[in-house]
Amino acid sequence: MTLFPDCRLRQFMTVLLVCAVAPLASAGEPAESFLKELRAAGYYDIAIKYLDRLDQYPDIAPEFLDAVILEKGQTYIDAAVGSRTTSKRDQYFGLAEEQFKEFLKRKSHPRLSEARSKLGKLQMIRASQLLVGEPTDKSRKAARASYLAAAETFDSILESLRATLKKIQGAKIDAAKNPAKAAQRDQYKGEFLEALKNAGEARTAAAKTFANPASEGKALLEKSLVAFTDLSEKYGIYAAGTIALTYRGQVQEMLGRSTEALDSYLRMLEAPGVDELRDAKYQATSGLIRLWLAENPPKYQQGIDRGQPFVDDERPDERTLSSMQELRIHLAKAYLAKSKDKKNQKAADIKRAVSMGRQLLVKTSKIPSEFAGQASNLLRDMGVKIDEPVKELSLAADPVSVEDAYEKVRVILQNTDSLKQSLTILQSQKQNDQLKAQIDKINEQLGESLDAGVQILRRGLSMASTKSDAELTNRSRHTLAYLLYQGEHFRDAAVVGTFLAKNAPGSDVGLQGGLTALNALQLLLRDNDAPGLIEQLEELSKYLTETWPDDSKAASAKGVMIKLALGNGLYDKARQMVEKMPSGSEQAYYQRLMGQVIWNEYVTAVRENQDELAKEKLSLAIDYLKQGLDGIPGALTGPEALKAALILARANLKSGEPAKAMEVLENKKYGPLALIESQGAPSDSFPGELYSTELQIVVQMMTTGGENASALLERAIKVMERLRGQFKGPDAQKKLNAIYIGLAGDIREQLDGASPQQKVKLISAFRVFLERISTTTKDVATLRWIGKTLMDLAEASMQPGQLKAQGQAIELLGTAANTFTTLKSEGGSALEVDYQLGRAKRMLGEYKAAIDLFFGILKEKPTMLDVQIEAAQAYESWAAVVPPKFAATAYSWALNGPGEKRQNLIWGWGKVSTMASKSPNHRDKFFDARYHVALCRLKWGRAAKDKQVIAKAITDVTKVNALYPAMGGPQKRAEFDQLLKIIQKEAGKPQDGLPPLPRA
Amino acid sequence: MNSIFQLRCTALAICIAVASSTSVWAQLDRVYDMAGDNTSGTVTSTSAAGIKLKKAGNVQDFVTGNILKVLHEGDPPALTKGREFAIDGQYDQALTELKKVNFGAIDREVIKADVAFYLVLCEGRLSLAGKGKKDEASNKARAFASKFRDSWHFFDVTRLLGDLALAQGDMAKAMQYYTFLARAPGSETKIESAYLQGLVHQKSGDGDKALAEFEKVIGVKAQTSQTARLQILSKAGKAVSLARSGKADDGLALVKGLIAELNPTDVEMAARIYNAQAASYQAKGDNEGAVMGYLHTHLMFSSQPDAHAEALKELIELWPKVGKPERAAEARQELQQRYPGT
Repeated sequence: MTLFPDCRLRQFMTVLLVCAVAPLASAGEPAESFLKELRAAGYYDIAIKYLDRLDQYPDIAPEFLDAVILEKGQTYIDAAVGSRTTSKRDQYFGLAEEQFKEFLKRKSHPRLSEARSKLGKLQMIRASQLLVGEPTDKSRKAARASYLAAAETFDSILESLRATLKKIQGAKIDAAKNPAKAAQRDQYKGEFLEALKNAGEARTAAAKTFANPASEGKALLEKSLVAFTDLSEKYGIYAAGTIALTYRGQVQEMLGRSTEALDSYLRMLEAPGVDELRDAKYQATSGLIRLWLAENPPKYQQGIDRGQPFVDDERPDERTLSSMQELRIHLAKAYLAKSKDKKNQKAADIKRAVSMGRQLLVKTSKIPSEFAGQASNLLRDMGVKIDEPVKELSLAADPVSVEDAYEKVRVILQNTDSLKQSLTILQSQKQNDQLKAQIDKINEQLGESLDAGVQILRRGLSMASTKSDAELTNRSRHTLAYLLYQGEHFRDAAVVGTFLAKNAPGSDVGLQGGLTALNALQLLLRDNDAPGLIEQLEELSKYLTETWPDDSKAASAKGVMIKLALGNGLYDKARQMVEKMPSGSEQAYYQRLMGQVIWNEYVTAVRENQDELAKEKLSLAIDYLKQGLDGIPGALTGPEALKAALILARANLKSGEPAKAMEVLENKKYGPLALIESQGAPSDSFPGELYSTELQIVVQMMTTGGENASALLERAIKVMERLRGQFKGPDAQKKLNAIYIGLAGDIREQLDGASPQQKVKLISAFRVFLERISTTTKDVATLRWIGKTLMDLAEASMQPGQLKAQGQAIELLGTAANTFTTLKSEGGSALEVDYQLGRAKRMLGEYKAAIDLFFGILKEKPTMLDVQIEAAQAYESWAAVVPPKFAATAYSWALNGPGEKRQNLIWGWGKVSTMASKSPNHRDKFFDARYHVALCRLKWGRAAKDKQVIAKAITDVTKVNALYPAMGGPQKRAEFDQLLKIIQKEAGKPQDGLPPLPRA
Repeated sequence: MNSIFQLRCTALAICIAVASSTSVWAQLDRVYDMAGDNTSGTVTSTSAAGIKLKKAGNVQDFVTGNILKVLHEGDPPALTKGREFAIDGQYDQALTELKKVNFGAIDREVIKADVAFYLVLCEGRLSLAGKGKKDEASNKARAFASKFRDSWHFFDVTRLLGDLALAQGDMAKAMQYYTFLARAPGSETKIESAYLQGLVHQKSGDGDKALAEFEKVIGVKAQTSQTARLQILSKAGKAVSLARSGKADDGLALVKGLIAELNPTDVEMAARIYNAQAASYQAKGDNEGAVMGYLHTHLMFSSQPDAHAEALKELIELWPKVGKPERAAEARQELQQRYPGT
């Protein structure tokens, strides 16, 4: 109502604008914005009518008026997408196509390329619409015509862009000097690749409309194969080029060229595991399984080995992907084929295969997709009864008012409580199938009750008005937030709870709502890394502490803010908040918490080789932990403080202060060694962690000198005995082994950092230590540790990059190998022992023996990445020493594995790199494996005197560079660069090496 | 206390406020004017008419309508923040800050008045946007007028009281408050008073009187941007009056000219212009055109609460006429949710 809506600033700004006599750039009818709003609101009919009467509105931008037809086309597409019936949708698509065709009659317009692309995609969609359900010959023909029209549209885009790109290529744009033009060139390139792919896809789809695509659609398939081959060979460094390998394989498969198709699919799977390629990899794996199952006898196991890891690795957002449904179907078929191979399979394996196949099919049948029907049919063939579709919740409980809704939900909650009690009783009993079924049933009922409660409250609250009882309305809101929270709908719970807190400040129910929202947001943050959530949580915490300043529950929100700041690495902010706290136990607690969080940061920094950062974090962690422990008032400490003290001891140890670390462990106020007896261990794993830390400290004190060496040796032996006493039960050896391996790692770390003279001294000292311990025990884990430590000593005495041992290392490795052999003969055989023994053999140059050991492990655990790496390395090292006439084959085995000779179990560097690329934790291994892929291919080409093979090694490096320009860090990048230059030289190409890193 | 008596009391308080002024202690304060300049000195007295600022022995007068804000020595930090939020139209945040101010710790009356004003303003504006009770906001605004009769915010509160009365459908009270605005010393406020009176006439169904008020504003020789803006708004008002008096084409022609110079960042102006356009189409029987006009306001300029509510109300009537009754139900739901009691 007000003229200057009390926005005096706006008034003020108006004055300034008038003074500057600046014309308003956006004056006139805001046609484009209004049209967007109309579409977004779903008012497509009004949008079309508005476009028809634009002449009644003044001062519309001429470029917009000039493209009204195009806007109409887009509006019809949006309308089609929003349509609920197929006939209406097709009608809108038809209208859209007419508009685009009309627009494309123009000779020139800046938006012609956009219109062509839209038309092509539209024609593809229309064609696919025609094939929905059971298509007739007529609809197939119509679909084919639409696909071919789309192909021509994409061809016209290609033609136009080819000319444009040629001109740009001639202009030689320097990206550093002219980034805008370079960006435009990249955009054109992207559009070109997209059109090339679309043209191929359109022709493939057109061929599929024939009853027999391979014969009737052969010409179309051949043409699309040319497009996909072009794309994958010339543009392999782009994601679109790599993805084309899958399409290429599919077309080859349709044409009956199985070997070529297999090659394309396998090349696709060899590509790095980046997100953009996941979908194409699923499709390629489906293709592989199809081809393998078609062989006689069917190679189902190869299909399972390839397909199962992808299904296991499925991400939540991929659950409903069409390619994932297809993969599940094919994988299920592979399992079913296995179950039918009664001659070669044990009864238990057959049973398991049937079970796996059924599970995959059940999952696919429940997700709406084109494969759901196929999955159901396969399940029926297996005699499995398909579940009825999930029933909609009854609407009989529809409330008539918010009061009625609250009452209805109250009754539901009472029932829910009794269900929960039943559940607790059932869960406390000894489990059997019948009991499990009952538990499942109750859980299902609980879920249904929560959903019903949420629906009823939502409907009831939508009827709330100013006349409704405000308190009851707020209580209903709180119940809604609670039910949403219970049902793990955390986002909705946070929204409702926050609204309640803001709407009822100062009241109990408002606080309850706020706390529910606070918990929900924290749980959401556990699974999501969204800055928006953090802001919401911060704002809510602040609001709660300010609105309910005297409430202890609301005060816990302050702790959330500190934890949040810590979680985000905002140490200054957290520190300020902690420093503002009055000194005492609360402040000391948060200081310890800060110390522990920073310690975690330190661990991460070490893992990422960020030495400076790690140093800084370590020092900070020590400061905070010390302040927090010293600041504990009185003598009483809790379990949390004991844990903090243990971390402080470890931090001191890491900073090279073993004596200080020991002081912390023995501190009378908070030292865990001093207090563990009287206070008890904070957790089951704590004593093990404590004694292993003590052992590390003692070992480090032994190496730093200045202490009584024999006393320390005795203490170390006692600690090891205490450590062994901590671990009982089936996993005891495993846990002890893990601790000893960690200890061996520490020793190795000390050796790596020592000078050559110190190294010799340390190795001699450790040998004495190990021999002394070995005489005191026959414990398997201890002996294994001794063997592992000897291995580490050997490796530490070898030069970097040296693969075969010499001198002192041979002796150490020999002793290690003997230790492992003894362990095996005394029944201590385990895969880890074989692995270490295999490594020792490899480093000793006994490659055949090493590979035999690795092969034995892989028979039991085919996916152990470290063993696969060792096996590939063994083949590579072996290749270097075999007679020249065998070298090419040996390198090809290092690269692709020895195939059937070792039952396809040894992967070689190629598959190692593919598997390593799937996990960020294996990033280093991935780059290392890719390096060996290129290196082995170079050496293979060299041995075979085949320049084509050598040239292929160039792509091995450039592909990695295109996807990961940093290539695993400066050192690895330099190695790749050097290797690439060698390959380029031997392939007769210019020695350009890697392109410079793009600017951040 | 009945409503007539309340209004009389408020009017009495207003009269006293215009006539009186209060001396304050010497401090270092800073007055910001609408032109973007600021002057520092000591606020020696304030009244509904403006501020007297003493600087180096001289006293400078600032007229109410030309003052953007005053920063006082001793302003609590929450007032400083809250004031900026309020000036920027972010009333929710402003209120959060202002509620932190401890009145008891403030020793200058002029600061107390500032805090009280921005609290009243925020609550009033929020209630107009459907986030609070309008009658409670009116009571608080009247309490301010009674207690801080010598505040330079006095006419701002008068305008707010008019807006609240109009939103509650009390045309008589709205007219009294808007008419009183004409007593303000600044020429812009006087012109604004005429425009607002025109709006009340229009809402009361008295098209001729409304047109007369709008013409008065349009006829003024515009010397400032505020006056120019008022004239555009009056033209939008005039277009509605023309349309309702059977001259819809004239109204449309007038609106077309306004759209040609539309500043889409001025939400109030844009909303009123498109509502005027819609009303003109409606008067011509062009329901489709009317729907498009109101949809402009609904979809693009909905942050002007009264204009948005008006657009939603009209859409409820118009959607069935263009064959979309389900959209009328959507509009009704939105109107009830966003502006309960409208």
